Amino acid sequence: MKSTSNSASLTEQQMLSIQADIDGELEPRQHSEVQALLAANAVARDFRKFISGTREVIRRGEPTRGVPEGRDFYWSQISRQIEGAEKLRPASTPPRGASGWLRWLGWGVPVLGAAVVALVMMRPDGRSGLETAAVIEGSQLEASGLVFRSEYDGVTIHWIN
Amino acid sequence: MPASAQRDLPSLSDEELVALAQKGDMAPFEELVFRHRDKVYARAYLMMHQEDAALDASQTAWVKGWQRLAQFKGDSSFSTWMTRVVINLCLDDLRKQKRVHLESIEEMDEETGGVERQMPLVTVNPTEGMEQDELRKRIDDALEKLSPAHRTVLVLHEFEGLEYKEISARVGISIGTVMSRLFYARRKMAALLQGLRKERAS
Repeated sequence: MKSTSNSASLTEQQMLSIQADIDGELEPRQHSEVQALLAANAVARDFRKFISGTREVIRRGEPTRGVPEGRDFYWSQISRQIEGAEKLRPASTPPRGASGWLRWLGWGVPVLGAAVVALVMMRPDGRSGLETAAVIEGSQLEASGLVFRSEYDGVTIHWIN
Repeated sequence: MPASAQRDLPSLSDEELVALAQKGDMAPFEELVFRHRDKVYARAYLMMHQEDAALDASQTAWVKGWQRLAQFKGDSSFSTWMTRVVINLCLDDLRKQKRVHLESIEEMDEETGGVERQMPLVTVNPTEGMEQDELRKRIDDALEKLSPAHRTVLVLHEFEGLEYKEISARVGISIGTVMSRLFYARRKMAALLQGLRKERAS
């Protein structure tokens, strides 16, 4: 920052820098520049006093204000909104406080299912798992279920979500 | 039966109440609302300067607070966390109302008064000898005379204790605009309080 020793006025940048210095926002090098300006310029010192004084008065006079409603009425409106939002929550969302394994089911089952399918497809004998799989189907009887049957392995997996 | 039923809730610390509420028990949360409702409402009022809007924002903040309670890790005090929630809601609301303007070079120049314009420096404390309640009232009145854009930056910095870069990110303006709006707001506040001093003297 350019110092304006004995200058009658400060530049906009100098004023903002002095303010930033008061607010503790400057890097050490910038802080040193402001200190040099303050040492050389009486207007800068007055300006610093003005900003820090204003800042102190504003902070000391932080307005306080009480809720203009009684405790029970205020809370009843909040609790009603909370309960309303809970009712709107999708059914698939685990309820608050649901145990960890329930939450795990939400994403763990599909991931595990995908892993099983991938394993079958990457058989070490070079045969595609799909070739050996007689059926991979969604069962109508088990609404969100899946049945995987491998004739080659003689294995049937029933997947129930 | 919830764990809170066997506890004397007013005697518990905020941290203990939060821990109970995080298990889904609303009674400890109600106690937290009771303790901090004035502070949350006051912050909303400082931002909005409209009673109804502040009331709505404060109640919505408590609903959000409940819904996001699992995210509260105790990095700050619960009351600070809640004031941040209400501040964010107020900022969203102000943005919707388009009351916080986007920055522009012209606006910035207007805010700082330009290089050439002399700034009246109020070096005498205009609030000297004033009772605390009266000072608060005067500051409140002066804040009301600021534009929402300037008041927002001033409140976030002076009362919420946010750094320039945090204000910049939350309000969506450059750091330069934060600095100029803060400067303008302080200058305006000083002028308003100086006018008050003259009123008192006459």
